[in-house]
Amino acid sequence: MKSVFVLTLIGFFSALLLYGTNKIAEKSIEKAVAKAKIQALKKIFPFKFESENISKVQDKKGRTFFEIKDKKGKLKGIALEVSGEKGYGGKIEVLMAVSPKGKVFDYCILSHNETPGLGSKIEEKSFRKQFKGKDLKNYKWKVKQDKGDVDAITGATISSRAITDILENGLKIIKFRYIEEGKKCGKNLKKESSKRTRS
Amino acid sequence: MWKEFKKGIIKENPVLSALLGLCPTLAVTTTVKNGIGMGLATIFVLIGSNAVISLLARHIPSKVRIPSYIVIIATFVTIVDLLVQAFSPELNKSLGIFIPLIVVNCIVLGRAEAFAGRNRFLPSIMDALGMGLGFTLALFLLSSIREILGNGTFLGFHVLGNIPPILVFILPPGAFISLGFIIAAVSFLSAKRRNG
Repeated sequence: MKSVFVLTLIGFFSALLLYGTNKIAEKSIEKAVAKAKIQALKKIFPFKFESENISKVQDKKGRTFFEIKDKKGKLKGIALEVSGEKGYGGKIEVLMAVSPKGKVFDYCILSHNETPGLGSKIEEKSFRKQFKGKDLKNYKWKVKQDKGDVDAITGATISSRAITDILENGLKIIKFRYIEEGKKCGKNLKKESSKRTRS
Repeated sequence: MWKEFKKGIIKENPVLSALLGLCPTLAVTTTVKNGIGMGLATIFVLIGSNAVISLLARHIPSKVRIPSYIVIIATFVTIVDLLVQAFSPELNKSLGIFIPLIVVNCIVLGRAEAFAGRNRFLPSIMDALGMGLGFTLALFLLSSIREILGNGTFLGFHVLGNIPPILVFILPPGAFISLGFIIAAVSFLSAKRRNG
């Protein structure tokens, strides 16, 4: 009987302690996450902007866009959160920055489970810079082993392939939403692209 | 008191001599930064859990001591995790995934069971410090070898010049190979010392 009592008591106090810590930490965590996101946004665009010029937009599918506008309200760039499941360690989440004309500025990795020192090199500038200025037309979005234009990381072809797919998918989403919006063929394209993300 | 501190560093080193906590040791030592970070986080949790357990152990019936210890350790790890997330986002970025892993590090439970449950408060803290430092030292050694040979860098700085790195050392087999050599060297040296 005593053991039941002691264990319950320990569990109770642990829960109480964790509740308290969570209460204290909750708001700071939220703030830290929001701040980290703004810092990430500032890093991936080649121009400077203030945080009040960012507007967050969500579409029906729950995708998050960040629109960067200048003081007159003209769109200067779009950032998009995209993810893919085909990394070596599963899901990779990317925040990518694209110009209003659909060219890649840069990207940063929000989360990944790739092998440290190998697949994790997808975060490094030496790999990222090859995508700069590329759009859907002027670039073959496949790694060189698959007859595309992307220089894969040595020993991490799967991670390189995954990030290439994610960026291409992101460009398609942006193209549909910002460049082809209003055109008649839009609806068909949307169906097609949603199928592709699922497969 | 000094003896309790010193034993964990070489003579009873948790990784190199007791072969405990090999899972995190092998998994996180791809870079020196990760290795040291994991070591420091573990020291913190070890001190906390050893302190609390040494105070409570007399009141915990031996039948339920293991679940009790695990609850205490898990509570501690979660607190550290939340606090790091909240007040040190930078540290969280490099250590984030390793902190929850400390719960399953058998060094922490091992010290709770073998030492803190049977000793008083102060010796338990010295024991935690020594074991934690020994663990960190082992991680530092292993991650140095792996980062230098496998990636050509040390703490992110290039040290090998134009010599191409040996990729396998970054991969899991490299961890086993390097750890094997370190343990062999440590046992050789300690055997030599014992035989005089």
